[in-house]
Amino acid sequence: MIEEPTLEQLRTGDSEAYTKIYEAYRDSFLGYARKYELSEEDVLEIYQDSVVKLYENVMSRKLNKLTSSLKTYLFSIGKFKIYEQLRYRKKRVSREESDFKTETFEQSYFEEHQLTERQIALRKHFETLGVRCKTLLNCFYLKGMSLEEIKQAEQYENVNTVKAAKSRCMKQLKEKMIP
Amino acid sequence: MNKEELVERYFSGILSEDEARRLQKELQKDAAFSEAFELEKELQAVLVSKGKNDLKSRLSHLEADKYLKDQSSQGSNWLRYVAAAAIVIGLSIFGALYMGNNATPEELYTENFEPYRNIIAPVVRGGNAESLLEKSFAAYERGNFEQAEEAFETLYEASGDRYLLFYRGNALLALDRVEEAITVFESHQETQDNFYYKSRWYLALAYLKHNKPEMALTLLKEQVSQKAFNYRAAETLLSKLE
Repeated sequence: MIEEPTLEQLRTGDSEAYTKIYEAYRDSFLGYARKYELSEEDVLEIYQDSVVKLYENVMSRKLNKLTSSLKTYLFSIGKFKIYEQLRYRKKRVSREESDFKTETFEQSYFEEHQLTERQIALRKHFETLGVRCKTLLNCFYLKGMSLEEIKQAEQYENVNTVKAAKSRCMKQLKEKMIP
Repeated sequence: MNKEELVERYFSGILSEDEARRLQKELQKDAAFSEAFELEKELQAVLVSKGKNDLKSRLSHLEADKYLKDQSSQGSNWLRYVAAAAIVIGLSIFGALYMGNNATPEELYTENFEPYRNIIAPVVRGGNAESLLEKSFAAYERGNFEQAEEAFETLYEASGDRYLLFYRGNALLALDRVEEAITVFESHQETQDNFYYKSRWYLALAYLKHNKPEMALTLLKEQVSQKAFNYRAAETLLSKLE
């Protein structure tokens, strides 16, 4: 067991923190998954997707409080994904199997969703914004930084200029979204 | 606390239950505010999804760079080597018996080409089961490459998701539309995503099929030096080409 990063540290979206978790539990996950009829390549793919899912749930604030270790949480995602993969391949597997009962966690949070058409359009338009806008919106909406923190990190004059800049960026984005 | 502060606390993930209720009330009262908030939430989802792609790509590179290289430097996985050697020897005997020693590039292509398996559709869940994406991969798995190829093209134009180029290239190869496949793989490799080295492997095969073994050679050598996707097969191919 490593000293796990806290949720606050993970919330900054720092990929180092996620890589560290990935490396720390990689072998243990491979060992765990050995009993299923999956190739090592598939298991690694699942494990990567599980760490990515952890990232998603932390960053979109679905995971607000940890009631277990990060490792336990991560493995619950992994088990869910193994189950999905086996079921997809029509391997005989039942949800009753004790391994796949992870009722301590909200399973709907482990499912993958595609972006909606509107979100795909939004992504396209976001890419056309200037660098300063992109950075600012990333800080606020992804990293969850406060206006005060953004002011310091990005060297704005004061909180009001951050606020004004943010509204301008959002206005641009909104206008681009009008067909 | 005003509305703006509530929104700020929402995105910082520090909204208390009481504050969440107040935000909810404000949203119900004010349609314009509610609309703006929806856009903000969607932007958050988009940024998270971008972050996911970056992280995924980072992890697959880590896997390819660190662990595959570790395996080769530790020497503790000797069983793998014995197995790999056995396969190589087996293949060479097979090759010697059935193909003679001078297999043509096209024969080498046929020996090695197999459309990359679908690792996309299993995760398409929770949406409507009849989405074009699901249909396209279902067609791909059934071997209906014509239908899959068209759908991948349409989907790529709509979404810009680059893995679609990779699968489209695969479908084109399966259809023997080699020149088009080459163009598509090349354009896929303009950026490095999770499929980058996989894409280079298939581009190498496409060059073989197109009877440009010298172009394939360069790619295969890089595949081996990077210990990237299918590098063992690349080694075998190289030994036959050189």
